[in-house]
Amino acid sequence: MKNYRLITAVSLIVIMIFAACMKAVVSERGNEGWLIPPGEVFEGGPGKDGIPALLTPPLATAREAIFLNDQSLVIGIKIGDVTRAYPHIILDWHEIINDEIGDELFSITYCPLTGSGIAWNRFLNGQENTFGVSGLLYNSNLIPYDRLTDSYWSQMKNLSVNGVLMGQTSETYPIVETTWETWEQMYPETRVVSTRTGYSRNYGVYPYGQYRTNDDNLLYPIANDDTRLPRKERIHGIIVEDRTKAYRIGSFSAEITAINDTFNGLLLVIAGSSSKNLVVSFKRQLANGTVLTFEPLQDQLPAIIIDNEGTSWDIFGNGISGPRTGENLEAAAAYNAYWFAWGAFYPETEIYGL
Amino acid sequence: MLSKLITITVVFLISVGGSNLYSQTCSCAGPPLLSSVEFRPTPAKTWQFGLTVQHNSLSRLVTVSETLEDDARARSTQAVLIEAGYGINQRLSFTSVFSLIQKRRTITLPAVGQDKLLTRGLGDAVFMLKYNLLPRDFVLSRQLTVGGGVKAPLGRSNLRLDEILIATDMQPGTGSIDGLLWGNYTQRFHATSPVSINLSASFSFAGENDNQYKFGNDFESSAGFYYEAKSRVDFSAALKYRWASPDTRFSTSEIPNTGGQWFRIEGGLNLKVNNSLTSRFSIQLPVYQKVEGTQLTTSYTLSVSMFYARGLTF
Repeated sequence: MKNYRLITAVSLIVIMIFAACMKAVVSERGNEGWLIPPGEVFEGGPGKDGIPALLTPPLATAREAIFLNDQSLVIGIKIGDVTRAYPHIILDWHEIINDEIGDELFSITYCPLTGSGIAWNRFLNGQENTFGVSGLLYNSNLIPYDRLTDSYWSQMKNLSVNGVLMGQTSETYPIVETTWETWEQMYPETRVVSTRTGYSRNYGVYPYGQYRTNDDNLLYPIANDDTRLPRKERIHGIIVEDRTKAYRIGSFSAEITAINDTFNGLLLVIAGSSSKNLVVSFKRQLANGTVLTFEPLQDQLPAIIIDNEGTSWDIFGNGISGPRTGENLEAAAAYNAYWFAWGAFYPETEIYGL
Repeated sequence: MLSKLITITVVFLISVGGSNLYSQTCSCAGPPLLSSVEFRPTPAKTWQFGLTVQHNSLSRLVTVSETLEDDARARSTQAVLIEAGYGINQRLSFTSVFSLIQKRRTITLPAVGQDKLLTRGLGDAVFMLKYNLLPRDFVLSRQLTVGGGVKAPLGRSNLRLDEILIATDMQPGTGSIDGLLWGNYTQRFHATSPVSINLSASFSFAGENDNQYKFGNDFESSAGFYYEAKSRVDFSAALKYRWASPDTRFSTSEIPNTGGQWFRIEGGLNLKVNNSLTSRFSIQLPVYQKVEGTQLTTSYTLSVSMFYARGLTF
């Protein structure tokens, strides 16, 4: 009897020791080595592909897009004569849409936690690729992974930070973020990603509660908390070599405003409207050295600015009337984001007007 | 006979625990400890031991109260709960619960494949002091017991995969010290009735862990009955309610898609092996839930337990 009691007690102790020594994490990924501090990378919770990226989703016409209201934000792209809109209400639930227009293969990446939308070329190293949501976050920002090599990419750094493609930069497509009303008026023949994605999601409901309006609400640690602006204020950030500058979208007037600026030696024009939730930026110096200055155009969207030579340019930098019709302004390296995320990635950024 | 049975069971569990068990993660934000433990009043001068193996499946994606069609994600938790309690006197008793936790997450996307994550290890522990406000009477077997205690963070909450901190709800432990309150009332319908009613409630005050993460406070209640058949098999059934506040980070930031309310029903079979040893099998099924946002929630929970009570001396 006593022997069995002893065996029982010892067995219980063995269980506990065994449990303590068991390999705690059984899964393995094999992705070692990061260009960003791994201690500052967090798992968001849903897991790899727990937030499912879309691939060439069904499209709706503007008339069919009754799931959008006038103020719904969309990310718009224009390739040739084809225009397409990617609504935030769908991107909030999927974060990445892999798509194609003609021969152009691209991924619309949007992080709802940092408010940053960037379009990447998904034809990588001579192969068609697709991006998925890794479930990992750096400075609260989306870390996509490409499915051919399983490399991880930092969205806001536009850079692969882990895996066999580590160090490779992403090639971007120009996109414009604005209200659905504005986009539809500019491009009435546009197609828009439909809510018939094949996934059962409540697209009419923002999935993160009060997050986007509550400046006190941060879900993950960030490297640098720059308090010069409210955390969730949307800014248009420009990157020129090793320096960055932020333009506050809400500080633009309701009418179109054009700012002729010089930053880090680069001549820029930044044009936008707060009521249309729209800001775009281009280089003012052409390849042949000609420097242009710009004035805003009112009520002529998609034409947004006119230069001192009389050429009107649209929101994608295309010359659409005047002496330089058919020419293109080179877009600045820029995208929109919440201020806290921009400040975390780019400390000491300049703020226009401050 | 008894000790042989215990030893065989323990040895069996050692071998089972070392294999790659298919586990199913709890839907709640943390390890399923408090919601899995059924505290019971402990008679005076009596040792109580319990061994429970629980299987918690989570595969329903719910937005508020609506179940969404989504087969992409499956999570599960498997827990081994080891309980030891002692009745100090007619009023006061002490209970401790230790846990071993295994969690699995599987995500399946068509044309993409599967991603799996498995974590396991020692889980958190519970230590509780219980007081019989109304000691058990011999007529109606009426008893009212209250308790207070702590959940101790023995389990790891900092597991990493490829140097990346794994999500909080996939960690074996919570990393936080929580305060616990518990109460239980039981009585027969009448002196000779084989049916007893049982009411219980518990509340946990969650603490913050080293990652500045705080699981939500948790309230659980149960109302049920217990039927003592003339055979060795007894039956029980209960309606359970759970409320959890949203998790928070940095003290002020509510984590979206956490927290909510759940109603479940539980059915149980109890086998009286002898006067000291009881086996129990139970199943819990969801009845209704109202969750915050969109989250995975429990599909079912299975539990197999053995309880031994005796005035043992070592």
